[in-house]
Amino acid sequence: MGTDFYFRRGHSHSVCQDYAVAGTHKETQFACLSDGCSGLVNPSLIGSPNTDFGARFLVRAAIEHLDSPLISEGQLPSYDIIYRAWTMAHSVGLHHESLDATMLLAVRDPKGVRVFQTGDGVVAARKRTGEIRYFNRQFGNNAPFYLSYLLQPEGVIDRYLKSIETLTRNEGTIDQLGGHRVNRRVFQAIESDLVGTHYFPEDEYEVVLLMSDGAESFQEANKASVPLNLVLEQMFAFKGLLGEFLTRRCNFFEKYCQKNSWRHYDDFSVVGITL
Amino acid sequence: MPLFNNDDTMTSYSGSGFNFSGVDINNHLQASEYTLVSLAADRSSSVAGFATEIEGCIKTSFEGCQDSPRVDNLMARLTCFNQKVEEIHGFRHLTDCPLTSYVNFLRAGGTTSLYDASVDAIDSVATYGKALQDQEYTANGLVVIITDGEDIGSTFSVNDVKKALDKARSSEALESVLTILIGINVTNPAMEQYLAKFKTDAGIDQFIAAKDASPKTFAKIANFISKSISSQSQALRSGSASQPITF
Repeated sequence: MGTDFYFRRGHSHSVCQDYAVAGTHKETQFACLSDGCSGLVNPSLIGSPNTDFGARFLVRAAIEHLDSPLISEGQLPSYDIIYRAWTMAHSVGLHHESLDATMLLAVRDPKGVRVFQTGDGVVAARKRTGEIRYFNRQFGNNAPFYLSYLLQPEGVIDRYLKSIETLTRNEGTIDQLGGHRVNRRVFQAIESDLVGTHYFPEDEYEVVLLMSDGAESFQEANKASVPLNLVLEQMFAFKGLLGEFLTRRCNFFEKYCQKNSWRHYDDFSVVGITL
Repeated sequence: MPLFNNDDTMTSYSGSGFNFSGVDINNHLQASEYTLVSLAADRSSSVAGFATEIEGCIKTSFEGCQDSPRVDNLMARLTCFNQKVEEIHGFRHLTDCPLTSYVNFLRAGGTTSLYDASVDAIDSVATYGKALQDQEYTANGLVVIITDGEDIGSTFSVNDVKKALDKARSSEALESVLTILIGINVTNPAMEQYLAKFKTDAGIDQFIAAKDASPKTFAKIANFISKSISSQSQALRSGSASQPITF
């Protein structure tokens, strides 16, 4: 059993707004990442500024609440996390918009790994049979849900749900021979859909990876998008799962990308837990 | 005499005409990158007068790296050579090299197969580096050869040393490989000239001519080896070119 993490700035970004970390906190193994909204560095301009700080505060706040009883009940302690993150951001003079960031969190328990997802990004896991299953979400209006909306006045969530109209949920499978199938579902989201959850039992799965939507931003030299399933095949091509298993894979994935002229224009972060 | 013999974490690897050992890559390596240090020490009869100092120098070199923040990314192999090359221990984490064990292993006597020891040290780094790369570990290498005299009776030639080094450098398995030749007690100008020529002809990066075998000189050599190991490890971390350290 182990954890690891990796993140890199996208070539279109001057500051990396992704943050990722994994390890053990109070005897609980975890892996967590956050992808800050690509706001503007100059705080006098509109956007979501300083989300590079906010992403870190969110992850730190999530770690502090790993022992929340809500987690073992399958619920993310969203309000506890965002209020704690807000305390941190406020203490350094940042606006709540600095917390406009997604968050993906994996927590190990005795029987498997529980995953919580706010916003976009990719949740993927390899079964012990070798099959890869993945889940990703797209929000209408290209507006992923951020926990920071919970800091705003009542009614914001309803207005947000109206503004995005629909949520698209993709469930994909990549088999051992590289065959790929995707099941897409587009639906009108309600509040309980905003935080996605998954559970991966250890008797069925051997490694779980969480990725920011940077995984979906890879392009070839001719600007053609690299399909997510090809990125995932590379991400799961581990030679071994000991220690810094993800760092090793990502170091060699970088070389693979250079060789094949793949670049990710968005920040790319990935965290993993082995079972 | 080999050290750390009863260790089931080690496994055997084959180099160019010789075997060496190293930690089993598949089961015991946690980090993503390693600096491989291969240290070959002369144990011919001419070093008998300062064999203990050489042992102490090696121990102090490794000790100097124990507090490095990169200590978990360091692996070391130690060989001694007279007319034969003997592996004292294979590539293992520096933290798994108990410093108190580095005594009474040199046992000076015999002639000096300098070229054989050089090929052995260089090729083991290249071969183990390739094995690491096959499992997606990143590695670079540092080879340190400590001798007081010229080669007598090696199977390999200077040209073979150069070939081994060229092969290690051109292999994509190692990010870089730095080689250092340290001449101990080099009081004879002809000997210094011989070792300097060996350095040039074999393509070795650095030659240090220590003019005596005093405790002060060995302390300086140990410090130099430690700093060279740290520098090579930092180069791996930062992705920058190897920087030879000034003696």
